[in-house]
Amino acid sequence: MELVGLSLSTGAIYALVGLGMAVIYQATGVFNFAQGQLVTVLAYVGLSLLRAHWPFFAAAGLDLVFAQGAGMALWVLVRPFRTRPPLVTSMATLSLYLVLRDLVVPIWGADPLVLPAPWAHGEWRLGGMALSSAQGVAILVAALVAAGMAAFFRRTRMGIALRAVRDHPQAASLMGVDADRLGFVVFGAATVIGAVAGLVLAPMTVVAPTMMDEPTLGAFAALVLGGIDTPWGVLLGAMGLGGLETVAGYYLASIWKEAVPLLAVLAVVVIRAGGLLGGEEVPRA
Amino acid sequence: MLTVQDVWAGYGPSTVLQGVSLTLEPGTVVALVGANGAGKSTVLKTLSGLLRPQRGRIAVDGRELTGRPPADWVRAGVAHVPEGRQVFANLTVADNLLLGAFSALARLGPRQRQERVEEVLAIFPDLGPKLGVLAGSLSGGQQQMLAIGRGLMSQPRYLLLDEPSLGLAPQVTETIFAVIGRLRDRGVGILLVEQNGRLALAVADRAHLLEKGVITVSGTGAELLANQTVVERYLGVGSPLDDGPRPQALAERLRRALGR
Ligand SMILES: Nc1ncnc2c1ncn2[C@@H]1O[C@H](COP(=O)(O)OP(=O)(O)OP(=O)(O)O)[C@@H](O)[C@H]1O
Ligand SMILES: [Mg+2]
Repeated sequence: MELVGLSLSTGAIYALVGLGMAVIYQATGVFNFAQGQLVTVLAYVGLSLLRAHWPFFAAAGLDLVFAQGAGMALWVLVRPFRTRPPLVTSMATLSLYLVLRDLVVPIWGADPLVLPAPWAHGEWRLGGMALSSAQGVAILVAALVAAGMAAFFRRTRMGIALRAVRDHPQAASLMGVDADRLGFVVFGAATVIGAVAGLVLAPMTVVAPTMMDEPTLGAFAALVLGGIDTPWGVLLGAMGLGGLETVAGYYLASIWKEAVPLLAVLAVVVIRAGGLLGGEEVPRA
Repeated sequence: MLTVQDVWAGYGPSTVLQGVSLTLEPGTVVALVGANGAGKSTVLKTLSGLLRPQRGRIAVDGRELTGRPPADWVRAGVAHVPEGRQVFANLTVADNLLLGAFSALARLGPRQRQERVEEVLAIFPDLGPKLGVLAGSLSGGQQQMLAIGRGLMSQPRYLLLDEPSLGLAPQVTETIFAVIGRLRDRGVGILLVEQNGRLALAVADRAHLLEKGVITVSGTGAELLANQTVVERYLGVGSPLDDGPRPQALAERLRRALGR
């Protein structure tokens, strides 16, 4: 029964990292390779605030504000590439990944640190199932973020406009959509989701320079498995992957823990190129 | 009135338009004809803010908008239906329409949005059953109707149409031209760019021949149709698209569709 909690919470982390990437991808077609490192840095920022004796939720709030600012700054960096193919911009985010990676150790050191969240030590019982409150919070938050994102892209004026920009930037600007301004919203949202991911993951493990290496790989796989162009696909892919990994890790030799999920991803993609829920894009008219 | 005064425009260092001037009055159809690459689409792009002119002035109802971004032009009442339709293929028909009113959405309540959609559906009833469908799955004719309908969502006083009949069956072309006539009767000024020059000239109140970025002949549609230069240099003799009895009959029907 603990396996369920472990599966879902592992999946939740993959989902939160993956959703941050998916916001940017859905809006711009850019794959943000730096998302995982952004999560790490934002977790450290939150931790530093706590160490400066900020109350937890104030520190978390400020961390989100900082994330928003960082996301907007990121858009300023990426914006010049806007008219280039998304792949070019994706490569630009790869260099950001490298910069952020080399930034962490000189500032915060290499030793793992503990982020004391108020929910770090509780336990939840649901029916026969027990899960730590850190796991429970991760699952809830991931589901909320996915739902919020789905609603944003389906229902809000800005979300629909962003999808229009992806289809036809010129026609969208003829409607009066200012893609440049929306970029701030998108990148801000993506990094805020990243900060949330950091605050939710850290209490389950530790804050460390490489804390996001494995979750980032998991998020990549979840995006491929579930389909990057729908938030529900990302969530489903992440949960499926978390489940496979947990079950494989429990019943099989440890090397299978990572191999089985990746094999499953490959199998799904061979059958459905867009992932479980991802549609094939309708070619532009 | 939409006034274009001595506009020079191009892409990067190259200059395409070399001193274009024209006016578009409410309730009239003005045709802009010319060969491929003459600069017709470039004219429309400068009239919707997609392209900043290098020189010259453009004013909408007395307000100068030269060099302003597209959002300002939509708000001033100019809608540009671009070449190749450019509907948002991965959005539903309803969302495509909604985006047509994007610049006004913030101040429109749900009721008013619905009203605007219904106005467009009254003009293009074919779109009604398709509201929930992805625009990419519409036929070419339906996509053109959607592209125009989307433009109408901003309730423009000036409508710029770039080759609305391209690739459409004669009946669909007729529907579109009938709509152009109705909009004109309601007081919308329409700038019509057409490859198929005879069709455009047949229905236009005024017309201009654009050659290599310069307007070389202007007059009423009928005058241009009869003009020696226009026939020789542009309409040509025996051009496969424009000649023969069938296209002539179509032009006649379109004229009637427009109520001429
Ligand atoms: N985005 C662009 N970048 C650079 N040059 C362009 C661009 N668009 C058009 N041109 C050039 O400008 C000139 C005029 O093009 P434009 O599209 O205005 O012609 P047109 O009259 O609309 O032609 P068509 O009938 O083929 O649509 C052409 O020489 C074209 O190559
Ligand atoms: Mg053109």
